[in-house]
Amino acid sequence: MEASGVPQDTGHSGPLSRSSCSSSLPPARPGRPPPPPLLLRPSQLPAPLFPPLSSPLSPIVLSSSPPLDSTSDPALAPPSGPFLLSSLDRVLGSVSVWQPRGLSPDTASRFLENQPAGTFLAHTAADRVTMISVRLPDEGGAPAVRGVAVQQLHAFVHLEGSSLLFDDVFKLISFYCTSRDILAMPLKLPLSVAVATREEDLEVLSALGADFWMSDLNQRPQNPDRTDQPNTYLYVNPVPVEGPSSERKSSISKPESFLSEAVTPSLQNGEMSKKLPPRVKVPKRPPPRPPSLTSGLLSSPLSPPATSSDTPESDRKEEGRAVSEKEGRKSTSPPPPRPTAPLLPQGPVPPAPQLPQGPVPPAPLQCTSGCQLPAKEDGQNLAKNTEGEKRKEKWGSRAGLLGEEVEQEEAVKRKAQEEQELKLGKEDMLKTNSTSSLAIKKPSRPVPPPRTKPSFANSAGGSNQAAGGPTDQSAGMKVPPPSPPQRPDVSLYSPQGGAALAADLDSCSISSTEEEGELNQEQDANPRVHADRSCTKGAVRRTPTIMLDRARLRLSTVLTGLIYHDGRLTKRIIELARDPVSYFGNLVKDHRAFTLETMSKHTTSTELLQEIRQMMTQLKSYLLQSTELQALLEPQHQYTQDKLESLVEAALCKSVLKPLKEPIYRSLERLHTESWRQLEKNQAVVLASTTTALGICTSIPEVAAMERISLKLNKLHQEYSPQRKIQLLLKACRLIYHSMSVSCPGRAHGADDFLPVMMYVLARSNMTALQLDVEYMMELMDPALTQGEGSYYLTTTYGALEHIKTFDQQRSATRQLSREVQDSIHRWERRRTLNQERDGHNSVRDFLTVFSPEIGVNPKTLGVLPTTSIQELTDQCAARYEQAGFTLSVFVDGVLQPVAPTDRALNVKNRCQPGAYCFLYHPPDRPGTLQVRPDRPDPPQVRTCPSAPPPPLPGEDFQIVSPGKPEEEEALIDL
Amino acid sequence: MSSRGSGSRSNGSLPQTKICQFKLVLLGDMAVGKSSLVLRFVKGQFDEFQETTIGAAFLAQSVCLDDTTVKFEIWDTAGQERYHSLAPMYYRGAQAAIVVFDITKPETFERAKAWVKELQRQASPNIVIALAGNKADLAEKRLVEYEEAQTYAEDTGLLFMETSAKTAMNVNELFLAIAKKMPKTDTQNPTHAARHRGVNLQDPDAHSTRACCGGN
Repeated sequence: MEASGVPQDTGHSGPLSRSSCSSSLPPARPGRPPPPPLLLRPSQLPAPLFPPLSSPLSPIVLSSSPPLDSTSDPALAPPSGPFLLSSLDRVLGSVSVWQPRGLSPDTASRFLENQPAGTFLAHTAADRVTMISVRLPDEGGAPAVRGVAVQQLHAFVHLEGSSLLFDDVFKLISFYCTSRDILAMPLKLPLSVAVATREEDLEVLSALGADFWMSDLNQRPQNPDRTDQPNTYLYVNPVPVEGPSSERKSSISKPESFLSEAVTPSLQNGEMSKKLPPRVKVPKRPPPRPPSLTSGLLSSPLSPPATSSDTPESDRKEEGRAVSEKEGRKSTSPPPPRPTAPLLPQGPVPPAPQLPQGPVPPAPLQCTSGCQLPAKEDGQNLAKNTEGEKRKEKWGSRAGLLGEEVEQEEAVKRKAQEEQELKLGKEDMLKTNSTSSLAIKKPSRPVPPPRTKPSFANSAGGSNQAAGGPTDQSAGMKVPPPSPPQRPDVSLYSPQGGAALAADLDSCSISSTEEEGELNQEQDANPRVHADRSCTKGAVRRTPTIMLDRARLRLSTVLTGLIYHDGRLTKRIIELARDPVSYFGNLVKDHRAFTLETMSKHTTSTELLQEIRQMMTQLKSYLLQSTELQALLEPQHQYTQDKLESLVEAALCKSVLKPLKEPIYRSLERLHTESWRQLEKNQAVVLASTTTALGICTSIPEVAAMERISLKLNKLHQEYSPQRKIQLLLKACRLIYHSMSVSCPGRAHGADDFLPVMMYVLARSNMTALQLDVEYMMELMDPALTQGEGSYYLTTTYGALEHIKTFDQQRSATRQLSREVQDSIHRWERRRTLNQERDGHNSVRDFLTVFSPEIGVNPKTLGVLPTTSIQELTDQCAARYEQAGFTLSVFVDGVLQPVAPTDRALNVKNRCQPGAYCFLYHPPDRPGTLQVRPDRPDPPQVRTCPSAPPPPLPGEDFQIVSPGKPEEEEALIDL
Repeated sequence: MSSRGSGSRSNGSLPQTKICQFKLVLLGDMAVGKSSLVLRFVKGQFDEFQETTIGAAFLAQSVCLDDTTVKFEIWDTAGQERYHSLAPMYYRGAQAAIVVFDITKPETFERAKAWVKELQRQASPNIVIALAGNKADLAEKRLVEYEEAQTYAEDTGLLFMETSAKTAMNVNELFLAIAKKMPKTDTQNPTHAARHRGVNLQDPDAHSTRACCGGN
């Protein structure tokens, strides 16, 4: 979510490879309004630190994920797309984590002290200079944290002391996460960010902002020497920028000496790249850039690319070899690895080729130059690190770039060949991107590349680069279509395209087909039916497809048409929930932020889960009566209300619960550490009990049956949807029944027989996990479904677990369940009816995000009722920020506007375009910023805005802003 | 099968059939025939209204009464003393309960009385409780006299029948009597009843929305 919208700010002028990916997103939503202007939520969309311009240094990420168009909003990505993130996405998506606004240098240092080396934070020092504080490796006596200033040169930014310029700080950080340049070591995103594979993951993390560092989401690497951060390859294309300082000059020569990797993706100019392999190298004469992309700075003639010891011939040779090798390899590519697992090299490392140091293939037009950038150098260094050199030595030797160049010439040469390959792959990728959105997926399906030994070793051996790398690189390598020497401009009708699609669908668990399959499964518990559908799915996958941009939509239609309308509707709802410019999307987003912010404040798990369920129910009831949902319905498909509700429920599970699942489980674990001990202690007791002691009179599950049951329970644990968890629980129970009947076929077993065997089984399962699961299911399941078989077996499982917890071997066993358990069940029962009653009540709580004291700083999400006035909201802010006396204003249309204390907060919100405003809780006197505009124009209604503000709701449903209302739980207990 | 349902049945084609769904909990000592009783009910003549479930601990069955289809969700409990403490989870929220004892075992009658007491103290205030003296086919081994149980039931305001799961004696009658006693107007959300189908592994569509009617 954070990434969403950000790119608009960052104004990538760079690689076109990023530009086409919006088309890779599955079916475009009809008539989505253009993204709102960007002032929105600075927490998530930090304004760019520096104005974007065309980039001299435009790293292109060769990663396992399709580069996302910087101007497209990732949050808009439909769920069916691959959600693998590029490193830039990660940087963008986690900005509120690594750049918590308002962070002081001191705080930054304190945060960093406990973090692994390479961890960094960006903050604004005095005089508005952005500093990046980096945690250095522990070396005796040296200060642990070093700050480097980000300086501005023309329209670019660079690290103080470095000559590498970037469009913006995001690209800069993204680069330094891969390559250290002048730093002691590459920057390292927090592990949780680095291993995030989906936007939701990032959303969860970034919603925490600075709190992330203190939260348990900030995982530590198990082994600090072995990080799992993806090893990313950046395509770097150096363009000299004339700088005013001598520093500039040195920078010009520096890159040149590193030109080993001549890579020239051609995006706009397909012909160029088509002919590329044979005749590409024209080192000294980079082709002209398209005028539109030329910045003033760059229009000066490029200096001769480099000093290279290389001849064009050697370069050509290299390239040819690379091509053929690639061809050979392609067919044998192993199945794509999962992104985070470090891979071993799949092929032999070819002998070090002669280094094409200087020659530069035709520059990608859009990349604005033909020069090479030293990016690889660092990669090489890293590689060497893993090859056994000691890091510290390395760092020492790397103190100066120039010295290092010489030192590592050999290494660079070796690296060069890899680069060549990479480059080829990249060209293809870029080409493909430019014309076929589908093809974009290809790079995202990593195939372990043969040549990446150094990097693999690297990621395995403890460099800072991480394990996504292999995939990333392979992504680039896999790209070339079948006939590399004459790569077609686009992979139209390419059989490989079809294959790639199939692979993609197979390997990407969140592909649209799979997702819809899941949804169908969710709606239909009949295993046979599901099997049939699986077959259909398989057939669909094998169908070769056309890889045209414009075919994309059609393809998607075909795919979804084969599946069920239900799934399609669910998918649309999910898209809507992720649409940052829809009212509902904002509601969902705010709900998530609110939940994450308040999650740690709950003292009981029931409370925590019930609040989430309550909000889900409210979101559901809002959506069911909203015009937003009506717009998604296809007139030719009529749904009953029940059906619609279950579809909405499924979609909400996916869009709301799924991203929250991990945080929820972590919170539950935190709240349950005590009871776990008891559970584990008694588990041993139960395990030691005889079957007679347990009251078992039937046969018990054999080993094989136990395994099957455990499989179901494990799967249950992974699942995020309460409904699907329950289905899996029922499947496990059915297996238990089956094994009970072994000795006595045909006999029906009632609870007398079943419960003891259930106890027997649970004692042999992961009870701690199951305990969380049961609670998760009980509290979060659709209240409309809290009766029936699932409910019975859920109760039984819960009861059995509680019984084990209080198990007494003396077995005078009338020990009562604890009061809490009884209460919990009581509340649960009661809540069903309450929730059902509420169904008709149109109860919607809304959310507002407030910043204080400046936009972008310290965001808090507050829950509001339709009746909440601005005054009440101000009071809430005072409480939440522990800061009284401030004023609440709304920032919209670029100005801070006052709001009347008697105004309804929701009315204010509804006047604004979703996402295009923010509330600010600030000191009363802010000269210059507060511009009173009594004639505030009505903001344009966004299509997705509900025609009316959310309906009023009964106040007793909410606690937050309804002081004086009886606490709900109490009411529940006193049935 | 023996006795027919005594309730009048409406024609299934009537569109306005009201559907009420109730949770019914089975209590009683181990081996008094709780499951058998319910299985007899469920597997008996009302077969077409039976919903497939994964096991006999939870069963669902609909019966028709006049213009109403009453769907019972039947929650069985483990009768072992050691699992007594779990019972409240099951009878919480139940609108009906059948407390079963074995007429050949007086101690099960005593236990049944204890259950009744507990239900009256802790369960929903409006819960409909039926007492079933099961194994009536074993009359020659009877140790709990009919009158004794009958008197107790009257004193405590219970429905009472002697039943035999083996011969099906009074099985359907018992459930129909309960169904008649259920407050039809009070069923939670009659309009939503069709939705309360829970999660069913095998037959998601076989729900109470079916046209009613029936048994014989």
